[in-house]
Amino acid sequence: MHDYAPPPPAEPTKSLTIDGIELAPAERLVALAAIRDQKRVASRGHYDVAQSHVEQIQSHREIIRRISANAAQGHRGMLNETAAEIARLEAEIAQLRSAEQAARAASDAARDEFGAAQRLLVAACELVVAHGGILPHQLAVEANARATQRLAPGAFEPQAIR
Amino acid sequence: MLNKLARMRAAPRPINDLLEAVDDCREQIAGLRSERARVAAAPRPASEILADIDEALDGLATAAIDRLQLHRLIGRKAPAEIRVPLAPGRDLAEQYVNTEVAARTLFGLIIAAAREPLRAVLAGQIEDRLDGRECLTDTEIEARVSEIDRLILAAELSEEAATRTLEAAGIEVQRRGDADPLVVLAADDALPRG
Repeated sequence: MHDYAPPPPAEPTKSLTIDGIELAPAERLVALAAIRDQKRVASRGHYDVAQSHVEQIQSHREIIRRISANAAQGHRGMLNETAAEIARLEAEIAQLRSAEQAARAASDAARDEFGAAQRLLVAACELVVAHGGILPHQLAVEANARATQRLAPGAFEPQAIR
Repeated sequence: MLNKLARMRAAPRPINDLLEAVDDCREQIAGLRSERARVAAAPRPASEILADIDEALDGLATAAIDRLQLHRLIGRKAPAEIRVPLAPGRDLAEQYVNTEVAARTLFGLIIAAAREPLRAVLAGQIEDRLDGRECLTDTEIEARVSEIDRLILAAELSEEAATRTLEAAGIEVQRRGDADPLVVLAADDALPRG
């Protein structure tokens, strides 16, 4: 029997002082990650709205195509009703198009905000690791191998993650 | 403004004040960064530049005189001749003469013969190019940049304090993507308080 006991898991760095400023890396990195995630969720939400508008537009176009095809085979009395219905659908399409563009713009804006939040988070992670700190588990595991190298070489080595 | 920000946490502040504080900080940071770039790119003082010019002129004149090999005139056997050195070219046929050394020698002799007028011309050109711009030595730049960096850090800490107070009040404020990571990692207690 060995009396070997595995080392305790490394804890994310809770306190660090750089250039005379007291830092709270673990708490702040988690907060920054949460803000970044909110931006991503917002961007995704707006994108989904834009896509739903696109699908509605496609659906309206299909209805107009069918109405037009039926009207072409029907009697003349139906033409006025068909034209009115098509005009109504076209107006809705115009509104949907406008809403889609607005949602797409909002998605782009949120994506830009996400990018800024991500850059800031990465810079913060690099600073912590450069000063020997250990990142929160949540941040360590989310990075894939490529991001690991780009974010901070060595930051997600086993001794840094655990 | 910094005094205003220093009172930030002394008492609950209206949201509008906090948003205004963030804007003020960002404006100040942008201004300081511009100032930092201007200071870092400040030209050298004319005296430093002229000192370098003097050194270069001395070197060129001395080298030119040396290339004339005046010591050969002292000996009785050597022909009494002063020649500008012309080196053979280095192409395969060696059919041209490399005049670079000759040109440098002639330039050095011009300097030796008319150093002061030439220096005055160069000094005038330098002054024209400086055109009243603020000139700084390396030491001065280092000191000024260090002071500006200190002010930027103070402004960023104030901005972060306002941002966190707003976040605590449920108001979302987008942080600048180029914010100092040191500042966004700062503990709450490290931020300015009233």
